[in-house]
Amino acid sequence: MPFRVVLDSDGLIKLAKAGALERVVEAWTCLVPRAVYVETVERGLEAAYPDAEAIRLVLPSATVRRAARHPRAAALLQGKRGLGRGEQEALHLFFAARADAIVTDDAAFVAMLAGAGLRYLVPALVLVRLVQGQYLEPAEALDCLERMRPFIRAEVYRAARDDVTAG
Amino acid sequence: MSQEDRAMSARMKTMPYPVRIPKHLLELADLRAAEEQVDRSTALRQLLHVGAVTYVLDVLAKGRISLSKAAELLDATPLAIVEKAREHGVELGAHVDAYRAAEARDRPAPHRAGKRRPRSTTRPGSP
Repeated sequence: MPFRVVLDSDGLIKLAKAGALERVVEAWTCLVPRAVYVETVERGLEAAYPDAEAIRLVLPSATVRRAARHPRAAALLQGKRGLGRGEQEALHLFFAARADAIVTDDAAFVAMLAGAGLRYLVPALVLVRLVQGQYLEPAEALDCLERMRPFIRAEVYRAARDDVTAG
Repeated sequence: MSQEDRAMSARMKTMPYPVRIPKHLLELADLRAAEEQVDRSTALRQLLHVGAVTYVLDVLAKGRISLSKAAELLDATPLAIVEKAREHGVELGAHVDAYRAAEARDRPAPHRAGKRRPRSTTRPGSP
């Protein structure tokens, strides 16, 4: 069974900044909610962000999924005011598509997922997993991690660097 | 409200709201208005926006709101929020305990044989 991940805007942006998004798309089945695509790619293109174009070029159109509704997601989101439409649609898609994990580095979203016992991968850990799955060389992963460094917490950067180095 | 104000409100998705403003902030707005060659109301909105950005980045860094929510609140794309955080020196993202929890739960590495990319044989240190 292919490994299926849902990416939110945070996950997409940080993997794109690292230059690793293409590898993730090659390695795993990636799903992106329509709301995430709109807020990051379409609005990003309107505002002329180069990263928006980079993400658009890497993502096959089939990865972008229209809004799905799932009762488990709706129950978990009830009363949660801190999440935006992108994360909400990511959670609905996670259940509706029976994905294995959500790729996000968003502290609020991660706290919610961890509290619900749902599987998530932060972008730095994605690099470690790509190395362990032999989709990425350790040296490439360290390069990607350096590019990701300004956008993630220093402590997470160090942990991921140690894990990549340790293999 | 004049027709021009109404038109501007529609364009900028604004709405009138009565608020008492301290004199020193009005003086600051006038200073900004003169510096930026805008009217006092525009200067006040600009100052409010600066404060809003700072506050949104603060609650985003604390994990009280998400990136997508931050973008909605500032009527911006998440890419802009990530760039603003970097410009302001604000560290965003999950903490290392969240990383470690995901790392422990997710072992061993998921991979798909059919899509595996063979490792290069020219890796540094390889025979």
